[in-house]
Amino acid sequence: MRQIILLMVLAIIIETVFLSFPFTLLLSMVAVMLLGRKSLWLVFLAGISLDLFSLRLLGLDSLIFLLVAALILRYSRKFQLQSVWYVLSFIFTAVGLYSLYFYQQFFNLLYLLLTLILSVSLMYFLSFSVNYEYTDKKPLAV
Amino acid sequence: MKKTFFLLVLSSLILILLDYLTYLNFLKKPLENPIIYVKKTVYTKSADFRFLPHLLANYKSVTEKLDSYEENRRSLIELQVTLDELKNENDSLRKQLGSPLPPDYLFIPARVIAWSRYLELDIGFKDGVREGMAVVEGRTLIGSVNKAADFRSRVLLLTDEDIAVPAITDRGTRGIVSGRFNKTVLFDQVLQKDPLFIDDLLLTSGEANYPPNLIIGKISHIQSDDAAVYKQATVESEADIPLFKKVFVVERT
Repeated sequence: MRQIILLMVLAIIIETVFLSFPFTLLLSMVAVMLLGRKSLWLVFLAGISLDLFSLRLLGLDSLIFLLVAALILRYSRKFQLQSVWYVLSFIFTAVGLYSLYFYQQFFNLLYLLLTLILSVSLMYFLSFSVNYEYTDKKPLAV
Repeated sequence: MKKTFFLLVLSSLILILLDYLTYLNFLKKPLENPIIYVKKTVYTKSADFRFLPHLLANYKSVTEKLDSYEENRRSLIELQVTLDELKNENDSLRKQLGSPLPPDYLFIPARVIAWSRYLELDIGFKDGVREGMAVVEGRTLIGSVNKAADFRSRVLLLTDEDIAVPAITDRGTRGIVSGRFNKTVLFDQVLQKDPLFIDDLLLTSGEANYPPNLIIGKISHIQSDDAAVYKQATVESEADIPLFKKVFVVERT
């Protein structure tokens, strides 16, 4: 959880200072996928902080993040099935639409690669470090 | 858990409404200074890091630019001497004729604290910045202020689709400068009959709150379709945004 919060702060700073890429949205999606419903407050606060940093209407990003979180949670079974293509296509769509609206950026090769590498590595590494006490998902009992 | 979700969505909607009605400014104000501090520090410290990808991607053009800068520097020194002489002559003529000096513009200096889609400056409403004011670096137009908080402001760049700058070429062809996909600058709404050539210099025409004769860039590519009412051109902007640290907000006094 701490790592996700730290990464969230870093993502907000990078996104609002020098790189037009929706790091915060990407991280929020990964957080929702890993932590489940417990991440709603985190996503909400990340959205508020991003709004404050980027001079947008307060609450706009938190609303978008919450709606994306709702979609992920609604179809959580499909996400839990570890269907990589399903998860990646959802991430690509969300990141693409967000970038187009807020940063006027269309997907190019660099964008695709960055999204792919970040989402896969975040999901992979954070899944090890997530403390399951915080989540509503139970670890696999072997 | 559904309750939490709806509570948070409702809170977001209330926040959006309150912020839209500017009722949240008293809450945002104390947070401005720490945010500016963080952004300024990160932006300043990351200057080299930011410039590296730009340098790698445009290595050839950067070296070409350096060569041409060196040539320009030499000719500028020569020009400076001539300019000084002309300036003295001009001043004495003005005094003699009693004519007023050109209309003054107030230049508010600002530090760049962030650059993603917009350029963000460390001055805001309290420093006299208002929405729509032009932002320049030297004689080059960078964009216009599109949002001003108390201590920060956001600048719409020439590459943004939301900007519309009335412009004129050195041949007198008029049109509107706007951005495309945050990458290119377009000179649009140019009548088919008007002359437009590659390397034409593009300047502000002085309408819509922009001071006249600010440099926008050079025409680099022309897209003309005889069936269309207007023709378009791509503009090579003179603004080298990744290198900006200090800019000026222009106010008409």
